[in-house]
Amino acid sequence: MTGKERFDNIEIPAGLSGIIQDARRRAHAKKRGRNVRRGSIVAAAACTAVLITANYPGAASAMSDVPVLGQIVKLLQIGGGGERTDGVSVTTQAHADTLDIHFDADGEQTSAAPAYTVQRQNGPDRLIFTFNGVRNLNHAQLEADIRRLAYVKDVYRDIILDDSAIRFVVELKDRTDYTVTEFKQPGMIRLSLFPAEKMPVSNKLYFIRSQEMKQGESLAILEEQYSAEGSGVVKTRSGSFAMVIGSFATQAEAEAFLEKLKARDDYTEPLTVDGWMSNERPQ
Amino acid sequence: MMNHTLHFTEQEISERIDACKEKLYRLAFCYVKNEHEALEIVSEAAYKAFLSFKKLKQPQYFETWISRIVINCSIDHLKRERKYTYIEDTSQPLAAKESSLSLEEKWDLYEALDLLRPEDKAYIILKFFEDRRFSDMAEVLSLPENTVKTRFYRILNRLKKQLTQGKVDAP
Repeated sequence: MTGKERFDNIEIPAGLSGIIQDARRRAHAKKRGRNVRRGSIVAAAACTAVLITANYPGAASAMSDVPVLGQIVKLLQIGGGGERTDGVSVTTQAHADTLDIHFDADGEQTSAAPAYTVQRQNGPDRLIFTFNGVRNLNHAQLEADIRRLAYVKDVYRDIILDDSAIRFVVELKDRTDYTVTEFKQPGMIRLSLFPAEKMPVSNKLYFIRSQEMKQGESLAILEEQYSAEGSGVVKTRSGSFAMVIGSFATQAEAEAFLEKLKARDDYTEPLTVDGWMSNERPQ
Repeated sequence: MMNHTLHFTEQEISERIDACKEKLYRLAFCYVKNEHEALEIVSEAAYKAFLSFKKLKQPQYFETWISRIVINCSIDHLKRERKYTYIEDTSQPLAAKESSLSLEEKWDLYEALDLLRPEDKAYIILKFFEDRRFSDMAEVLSLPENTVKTRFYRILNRLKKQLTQGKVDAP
């Protein structure tokens, strides 16, 4: 293969469009920031707007063009970041295709985001956000803000036993891609959603699952029990929830893994192997 | 007559970048040879393009303009992020194939890029990989065409010596 052929065969990453759109947003915010600095009255108004939207998410809908004042720490799709905190409050601000998650403690915005992780899972296609060191969250407001995003199918809370952490699940519509950007000074997480370049091919996946359950302590205990096996909580087609482990590429793999779980001393709640499409919820 | 002072809107710039994003990514990738850093470079270049597109007076030169930004961001990135070993420091020649073949066929110029200084890589990428004419290269590099030709052949000669003998001239 010649050098040119190697050049032509350089693989294009799926997140390229998202990176460019995020650059556009950063530049847009930067330009608006410049304008803000040019006039003290405008500057005061912009800072006030940021503080208002950070503390009173109800005002966020009117502030969709508020510039980002923080500095980018990282841009990712899966992984985590942030700093160790305690007792942080979370507020959100939704635009058409972005969600800004703000953090404050003692009435002031924190300088960094609290420790967080972002995971992506299939069956259905969903993002799982976990924030540690966070105690105060208006979950109804968070759900309402996330539901306003154009590419979101559903959002729900995954109740976990650690009361200093929160976890929520964002189900994505088909053909949606995303980036997560962490900012500091002040701390903020921005979820940007946009159309995926290629339609992902849905395929049948296999899982180990519990029966349908209501959200609450029993489900949280079950998820915690199998956390080392990568457990998660999924909303079912009827609107209930189930603890799931997986996915597995074949039914045989899932069944073999279930047999190992059944041999454990702490295996009490009956689990079964089930299969459903990667872009769908379980029964 | 074409309106040479027409300004792009932000949306138009976004669409133009989107249309050539793969080309820009490959250009950046040639400098760093890994996805993460190439994405960082494209991100930085796109950010600068969105900030300064009002300065672009001639829309027909958009791709030239954005390519120049990517090249400058790539050079800055390499100088900032890593120590590199370029041609003057190397002693091991790359194996050459049959002498009747063209330069591109004889040597893997994609690999040879690693031997070049950051500011020299663009000459090989634009000429051999993007098949640009010298006049286009001159636009991208903001240099007179004759200067581009002189530098291109000087870089090529150094590469040839390195690839055939393992010896090169001082810069």
